[in-house]
Amino acid sequence: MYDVYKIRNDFPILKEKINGKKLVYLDNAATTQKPLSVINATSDYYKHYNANVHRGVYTLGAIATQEYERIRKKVADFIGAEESSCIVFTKGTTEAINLVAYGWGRKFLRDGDEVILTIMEHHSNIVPWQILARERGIKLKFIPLRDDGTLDMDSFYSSISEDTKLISITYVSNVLGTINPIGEIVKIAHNIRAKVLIDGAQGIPSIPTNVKNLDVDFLAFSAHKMLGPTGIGILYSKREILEEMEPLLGGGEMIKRVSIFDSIWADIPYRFEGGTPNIAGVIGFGEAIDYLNNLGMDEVFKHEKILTAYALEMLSSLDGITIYGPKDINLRSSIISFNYKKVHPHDVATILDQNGIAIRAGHHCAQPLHDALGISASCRVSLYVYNTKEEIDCLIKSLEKVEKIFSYGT
Amino acid sequence: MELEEIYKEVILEHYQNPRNYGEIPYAHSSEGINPLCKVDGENPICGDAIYIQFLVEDDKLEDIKFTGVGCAISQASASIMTELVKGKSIEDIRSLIIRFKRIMEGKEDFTEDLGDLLAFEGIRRLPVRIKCVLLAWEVLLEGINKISKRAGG
Ligand SMILES: Cc1ncc(COP(=O)(O)O)c(C=O)c1O
Repeated sequence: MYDVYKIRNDFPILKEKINGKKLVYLDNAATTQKPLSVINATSDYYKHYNANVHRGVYTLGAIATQEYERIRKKVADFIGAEESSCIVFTKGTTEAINLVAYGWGRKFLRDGDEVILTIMEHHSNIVPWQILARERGIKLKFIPLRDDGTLDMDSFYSSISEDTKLISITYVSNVLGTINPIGEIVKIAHNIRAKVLIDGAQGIPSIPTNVKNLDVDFLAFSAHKMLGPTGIGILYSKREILEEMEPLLGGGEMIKRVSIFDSIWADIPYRFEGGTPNIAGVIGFGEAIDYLNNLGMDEVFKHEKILTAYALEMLSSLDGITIYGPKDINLRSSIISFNYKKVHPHDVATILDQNGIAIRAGHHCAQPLHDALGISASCRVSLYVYNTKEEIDCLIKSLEKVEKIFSYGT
Repeated sequence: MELEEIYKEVILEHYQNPRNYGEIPYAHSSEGINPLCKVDGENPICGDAIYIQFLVEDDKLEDIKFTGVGCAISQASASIMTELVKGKSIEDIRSLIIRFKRIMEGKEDFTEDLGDLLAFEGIRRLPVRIKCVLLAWEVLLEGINKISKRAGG
């Protein structure tokens, strides 16, 4: 039985007061809060077995290395990857996508090749490809949206060609909450022998996922959006792809043998982990995965669905509000963006903040999407494992206050 | 803090009925002698934007208009500012801007003579919103610095 009130007890921050009010944290798409077990795991590492990994001969170093590698296996199991060598630790989704752009794209993409993106991408899945386009003359194509906020699949079918080498697309839109049809996209891509990169930053935290079944070529995601520490993320890819990729950072840890003019790269995944990694971050991430596994990802998904349906229903009842993204609850995750006709998102966020409610206001690093929607900014509510219906009620009550304040003079 | 201290009536009123909103018809400026000065300012973090046009004659700001998009605070601040600076000498405007910036940054106190600007007192306690108040003022300062330079001053 999913007991959200019991779950809340595991998150010390949820007891904090903000501006004298109980914290209502609704910005989980930006980063989630951390359970005590994650916080303790990182401090236990520093207290009891802090040492560099893959270096020392001594016992302490061996313990740290063993833990670090144990968690690589845990991550692999979490997403259904065939082996832990397919899991590369990065500092986040952004670095993971950049690693594909530089380590794979720079090596394999040529003038005239096409990379297909969508208009709903986060800047971190746009800018690396723009940089590569400047450098390599590759062509970027952007798939637009249908009116309901889902991907325009007709346009997708007509955009692909024999020059398409990569389709790089978000699992879940960090603004609209739209869940993209990854399975279908992978099938089409593989028919034309193109690779698929999934930006899983918003999808992996909420949707039970198996990379093997989906057959994706690259998957990027961030620990901090799924109860883990900041500064740690994952690039998953298939062994045969990783083996052909070049490293992004040259230095320690990533080589087999260095002589003065040349070096031999280490095996995967170490080749991509130059320098001392974020060991404490990895250790904490391991605990976060344990926490999610204990809840059960199916249960997490269900909890978010129920809460999102409730939030959508309550928000729709407010006057003067426009909600973006699919109306069909089955097509969306727990991210809801909206706008008031006459109130700027920053004013909404400031008013909510005075009631202890944290929401995001701005373009959420998705300016092309906001341009396509014809707006410069929006308000975003995003829910996670510890959010409750009462918190949604509290949000709605505060939004009514927004309406009241801004109905001044009318 | 109470919300009424942030969203004072003065702010809401200016937001809903901005003064000096729009553009100065180009014909009003005799180009060459009193060129229309245009300055734009955007806050890349929140996307607030203020576009200001003004006309200076004999070191006096004869006319000023603004347009923009953004939150109530940035737009109301621009509206109040245009009312306060219209007809003043460039040097007086410069010192008002510098003083108001210091006040918002907490280096000086609000005084009664500031009129409608007193409405922003509550916002001083919201560090992330101070830049919204100051956006229009920064833009105007850039504009008058530009014409001072042009005049060889
Ligand atoms: C869809 C999406 N992609 C990428 C990112 C970037 O993640 P990070 O900042 O952890 O690298 C985010 C997070 O903001 C996101 O929502």
